[in-house]
Amino acid sequence: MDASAAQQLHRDAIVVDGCSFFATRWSDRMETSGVTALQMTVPMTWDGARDAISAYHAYNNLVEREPRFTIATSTQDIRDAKANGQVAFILGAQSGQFLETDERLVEVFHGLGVRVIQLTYNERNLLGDGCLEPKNEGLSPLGRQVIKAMNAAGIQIDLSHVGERTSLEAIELSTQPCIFSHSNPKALADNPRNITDEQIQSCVAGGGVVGVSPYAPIAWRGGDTPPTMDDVIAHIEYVAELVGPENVSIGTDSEVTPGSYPAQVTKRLATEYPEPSAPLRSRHPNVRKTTGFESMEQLPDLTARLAERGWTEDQIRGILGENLMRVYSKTWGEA
Amino acid sequence: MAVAEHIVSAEARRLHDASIVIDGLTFYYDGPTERLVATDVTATNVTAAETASNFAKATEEVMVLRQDMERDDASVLIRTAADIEQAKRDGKVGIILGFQASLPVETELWRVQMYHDIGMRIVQLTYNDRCYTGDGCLVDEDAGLTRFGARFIEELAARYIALDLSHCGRRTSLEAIDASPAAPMFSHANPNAITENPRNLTDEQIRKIGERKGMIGLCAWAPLCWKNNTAHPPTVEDFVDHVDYVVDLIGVDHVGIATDSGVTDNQAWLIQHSADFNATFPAIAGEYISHHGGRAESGMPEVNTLVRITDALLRRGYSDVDTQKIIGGNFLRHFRNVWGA
Repeated sequence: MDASAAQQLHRDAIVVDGCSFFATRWSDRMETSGVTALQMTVPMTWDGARDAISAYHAYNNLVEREPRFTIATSTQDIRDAKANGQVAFILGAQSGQFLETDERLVEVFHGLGVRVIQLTYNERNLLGDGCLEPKNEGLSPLGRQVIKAMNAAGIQIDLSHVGERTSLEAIELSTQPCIFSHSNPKALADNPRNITDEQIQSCVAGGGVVGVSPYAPIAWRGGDTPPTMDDVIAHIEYVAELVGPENVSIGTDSEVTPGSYPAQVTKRLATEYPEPSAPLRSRHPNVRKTTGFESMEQLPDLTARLAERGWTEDQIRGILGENLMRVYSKTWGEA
Repeated sequence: MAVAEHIVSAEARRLHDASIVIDGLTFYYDGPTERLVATDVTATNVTAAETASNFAKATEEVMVLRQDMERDDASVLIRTAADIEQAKRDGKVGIILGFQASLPVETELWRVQMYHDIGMRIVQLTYNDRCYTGDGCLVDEDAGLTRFGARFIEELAARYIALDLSHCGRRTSLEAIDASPAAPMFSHANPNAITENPRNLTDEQIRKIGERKGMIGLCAWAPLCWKNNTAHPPTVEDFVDHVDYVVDLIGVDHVGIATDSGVTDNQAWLIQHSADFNATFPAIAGEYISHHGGRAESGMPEVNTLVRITDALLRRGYSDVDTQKIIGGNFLRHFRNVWGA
């Protein structure tokens, strides 16, 4: 496949960014990226139910203001968005904390359009342990109830940022596939946010996919060279080798509307969770982004690089979106 | 059972009247009440919010309680240990505001300072179930203090709020005792060696409190001090057996008392609370109630009959000085220590 064929393929493909955040306006970055759908982190990880409702409602307002945006609650909605030249938001969350102490809220939020929920964010919450929690304990009784409720309602379980043992127990318990929306293989980049071969294999054995991420602190493989697109390719190819190219996706973990990420949120997250970025920061203090894959904007470059490396059209379409679409379709109860 | 039916010695009455008496745990304050009388109790830890309340709800509950206090000339808000001594001199009952859960803080550490500002002086780490800081005593596999919980405990100490570990899981409480910069306490719990109950304390927990020079408020609530005796409900003598056990283990300086009783005249509210509690957490009082019925029948000392404990301690042979320590002096010292004033 030559470069122009790769460009054409990218324009034609369903492109799903499996993890991104903060959309307040249409953005050039997003338009350049060629995305069809964005799985959005909507509530703050510390929000309760009330604040989460407000945060989700802000996306209804945004869609009303900007007709090029739409909210997808099915994979057909995503395909329709592509046909209509729109970008679809998949409403998600990076912590189940907004469910507070009541698993019945899962169904309520499904009714509001929520389709992806990550169980925990770095620390222990009422559902289970996060990846920075030193004890690495498993699911709580409430966590087990929430998983059953998510299976019943048809909400995708996301296990990025989740502690190893909690993630393995979730995969075991869930009757639907789970995903890691934005995590890289620990075998290449030893970082508390990344995941072991066992996590990758269990996830895929359960029908899920693993979303590789260009987020610099977890893409970096150590050493003198700051992270580059080559590292992201290496992560993709490692996972593809381990569990097959049909089980790889992408989560850019990037801001949709540049400048919309409140500075106090960045500061708070850096203060509360220094561990994942500390190694890169100490070795390369000024590096914040992965060279050549700074945000979703470089998704077309990823397609070009994969084509150069001999990936087939179907494989590339899979990584860009169809693999995730297959899993969403199943967990959202469309089969 | 009314107080008049219990005969206490004149000596006990005199000593009790002359002493600072602190009840380590009471709940449901809603304004002027016949249950709070300065000759019975000098100060009491009053749970200021429902245990499942989130930030918004708990803050409202605290402020409603503060407003209820404004129309109650018989009580006074306690902010320092000196305030407790002043309440004694003024013949008022001191209200110490406490939470039986850390859930109101959710995962926002700044709220600890805010709660101190509006008068909170005691915060219990967990309540029976799991929360963001650790596990409660009814969680099957206690996973211990969380990463957030360790920071939370440091913040409590930095803001001079007393850490309460009642209702915590055993592992969580042991790890919290180690993590706490300030002396920790169990405001209302008993030795498991005398009464087996998930709410009660192992010898290891008790010893660690002694090592950290903290406090254990022995609890006169019947389901925690019935000695698992199916023949009859506990007596005040049974309660004193629990006091003896802890005094033997860690000395008389780290022991207080708590009734876990209501401080409202609204009986319907208390009955509803009791029914809700027993339905939600049957593992704590279910077995006791199946043998002996609910609180109304228990006949144990409550916040308005604490003199019965003073009387029983004297009869057991405790000196006046040691009795005064147990009924309030030790809690006063502890609060002065952890509140910084």
